[in-house]
Amino acid sequence: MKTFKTIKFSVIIAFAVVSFFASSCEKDDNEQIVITQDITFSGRMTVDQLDGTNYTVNGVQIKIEPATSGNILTIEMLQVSFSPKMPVKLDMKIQEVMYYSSSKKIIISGNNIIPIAMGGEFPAYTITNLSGEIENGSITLSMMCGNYPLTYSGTLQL
Amino acid sequence: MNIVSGKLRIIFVCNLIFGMTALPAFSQIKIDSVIVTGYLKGGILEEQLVPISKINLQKLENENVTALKGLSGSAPNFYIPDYGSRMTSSVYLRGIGARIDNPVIGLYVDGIPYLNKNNFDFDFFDIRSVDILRGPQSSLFGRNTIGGVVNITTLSPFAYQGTKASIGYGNGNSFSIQASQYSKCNDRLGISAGAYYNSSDGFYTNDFSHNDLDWYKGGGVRLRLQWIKSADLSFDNSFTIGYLEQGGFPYGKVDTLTWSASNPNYNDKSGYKRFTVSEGVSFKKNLDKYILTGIISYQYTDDKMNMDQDYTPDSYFSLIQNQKEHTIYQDIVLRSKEDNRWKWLNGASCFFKYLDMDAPVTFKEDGIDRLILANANKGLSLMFPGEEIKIKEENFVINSFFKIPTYGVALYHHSFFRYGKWLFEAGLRLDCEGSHLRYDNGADIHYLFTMTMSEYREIVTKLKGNENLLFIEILPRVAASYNTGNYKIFSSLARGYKAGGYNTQLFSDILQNQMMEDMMNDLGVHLTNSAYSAYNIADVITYKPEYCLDFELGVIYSSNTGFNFNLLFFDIICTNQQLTIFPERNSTGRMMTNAGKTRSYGVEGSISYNWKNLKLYGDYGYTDARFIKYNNGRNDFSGKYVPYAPQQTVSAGVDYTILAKNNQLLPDKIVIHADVKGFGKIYWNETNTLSQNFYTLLNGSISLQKKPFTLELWGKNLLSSDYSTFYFLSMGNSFLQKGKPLQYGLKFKINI
Repeated sequence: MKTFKTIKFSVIIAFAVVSFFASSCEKDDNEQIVITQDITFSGRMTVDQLDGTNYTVNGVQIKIEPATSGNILTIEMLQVSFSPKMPVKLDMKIQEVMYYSSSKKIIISGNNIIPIAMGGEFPAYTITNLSGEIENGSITLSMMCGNYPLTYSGTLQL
Repeated sequence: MNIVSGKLRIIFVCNLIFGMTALPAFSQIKIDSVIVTGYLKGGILEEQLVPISKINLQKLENENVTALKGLSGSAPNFYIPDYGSRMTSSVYLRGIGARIDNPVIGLYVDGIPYLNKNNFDFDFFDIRSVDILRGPQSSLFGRNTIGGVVNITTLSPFAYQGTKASIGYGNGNSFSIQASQYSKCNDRLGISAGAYYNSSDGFYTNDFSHNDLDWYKGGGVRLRLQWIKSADLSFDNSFTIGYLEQGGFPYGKVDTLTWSASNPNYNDKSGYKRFTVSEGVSFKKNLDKYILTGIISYQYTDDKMNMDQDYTPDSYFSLIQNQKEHTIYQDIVLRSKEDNRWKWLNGASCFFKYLDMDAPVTFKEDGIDRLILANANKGLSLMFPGEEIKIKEENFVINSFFKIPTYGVALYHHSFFRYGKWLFEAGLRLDCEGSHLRYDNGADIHYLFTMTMSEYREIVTKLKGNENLLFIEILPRVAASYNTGNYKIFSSLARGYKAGGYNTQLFSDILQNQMMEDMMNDLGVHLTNSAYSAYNIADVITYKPEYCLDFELGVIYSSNTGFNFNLLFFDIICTNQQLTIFPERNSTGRMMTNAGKTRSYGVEGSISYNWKNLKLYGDYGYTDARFIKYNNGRNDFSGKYVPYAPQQTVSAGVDYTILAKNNQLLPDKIVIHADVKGFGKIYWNETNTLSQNFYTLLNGSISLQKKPFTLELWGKNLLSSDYSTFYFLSMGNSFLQKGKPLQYGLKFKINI
């Protein structure tokens, strides 16, 4: 029998956000949250340029796409640039990311994932030490993108 | 019908038939007054207060006018530059003009309207007269007569009977032959049939292929039947078939430092061919108190243009444009018959045309590498040195299919009220035009990014849709004249209207951009400083109608001593003037844009003097046409001259006829003709930084006539003046077409 628990959302998250997130994430019989459909966040991404400076971009969108089975998801970073020197923006996918959830949040992790961009794999920017969590309509991520430390924090988009 | 005897003197009495006053003709022809045709609006023009330049048969022959372009300057401020191909008929009148799509003048041949500008440039063949009505004629003729109307009348079997034939040869290996038979079966039936063939190697060579570039061959047939069924009813049928095939587009790249144009030098096939059928039946019915006239006509045009769109030896892209167009037109006029103070005319008009166009653009190796991939890889190569996007195809085609039905209906009325020496005119036309564009464009390519992809991926880009246009226009005109006998002072105020349309020529550019976007989206790459910012299709696909308000004030003097002149001042405010521009970036598409507001004012004068066997004539036009308001989003062109329209046109000629005494050895008559035509200054761009200065062309002919034979030696541009007829900028390159050099030839004619 299912047990119903209330996810405590921050007061600054509107009721609509609660409704959306609740519809996107269902709890299974073990009281874990399962992501059932794509959800999108918008926020700030910071990349350490390894020259003593950080490159920060606001308004970066990432899309979380659940796999059809298992606690696996894909993180897609939309129209991102990782350096001020980049003349183009890319869509980049980080596939086969593991997640598990408690009653309050979703924990994300991954290691040695070759991202997909521009029609194929980008081994030079292999993702390592990926960790993050989704809680109260917010997401935080940190990872190594090749040799570059990258962090991201964002909020759920309706 | 009988030719009046004696030294080819045929009396030209056409006023009753065609509403014209008798021309001071060299060859005069008499016509039965009961015939009738649907000449313009059933003869109402004898009343209408419009400046008309009349070019008769003799002048056409003396000046060796073989097509409409040869009439440039023959009417003040009337200019048709000779460039491109026979498809290109850019007419300018009083600073108003159009390079593509809808023309600024209406063209009628034996009352049949040529609604498609592509058909304007046809071979003149037994043309009896050309009338050029200057100024907007929209209150009577409706759409696309914002600059005026050109009315061409062919020789009638009631006007001439016999056999006409000629054969000619000139430089450029130019050859012409024509023959026609005009017969009057009885007093009620006249039939004529004629055919011609012309060919030329042209005057330009392609440096790339070393072949003739503007070669030409064309021929045609005309049949005409005129039937006077009764004293009150008559019919006139005109049927014409024409075919032509040619090279063309002799555009040479300009060295921008020295401003000198090199010879044309491009690699892809360019040329034009056209097949046309034209059939029209007009009638005239005399009722008790009214005269009913009308015409119904059908035209079919099937043409094909090939063009190396980059005009360089490199393989960028080429265009093929196939068009098939059917046009049906009907016009009926009821006018008062009695010679009262008040005369009037009521008319109704309608047309339908259906254009089916297929215009594939083929992107070739250099175009793919330098235009598409160079831009796409510019950013990527900085990020990923050594890596690139590739396109599998060596060539690919952007297909463009268009179907454009257009229809129009109109009602109009003109009244003429005479009071003493005053004549007042008021006219109004209600014009409704609608059109629909259905477009279906697409391209299919395969691409690969070397860094991440091992196989090519297919990208299919489609652009399908519909657009509609509807214009409802009220087109008024008022005029007044005061006639003292020798002098007539007149003034008019009229509204002109030129229909809007679709920028079909821009679609390949739009699709090219769309294809780039689709490929980049598929790749997940987003260019931050894209040279391929997408067109907003809705914004660029259509352009709006153009309007003008024309004021004229003039005086006409005519005397019995052979001296005539007229002088006219005009002032035109033109709103939404349609101008052709080449879009920014590495684009080769052309588009029409509504340029805001322009003002065009100037003077026109014509003078003629006949004394014994000497005839002098001259026409001068001056136009100051400038933008009042035109900001294209990047530059403000206010105050600049409108490009491509000449500021001045000049035409001056002299004919001297030497009549010989009866002598078996000497010619009956020797006609010596010389004329000079001048045009300019012509600005080539909106910024007015490039221009063609005023230039003149000296032409002449000598003809020896020994009945029934004529031998004529003719020449054009006798001084080989160096001038340019067209300039444009494409893909950052400037191109000019040089004017034709000295042309000369010999023609032998026989009239039996």
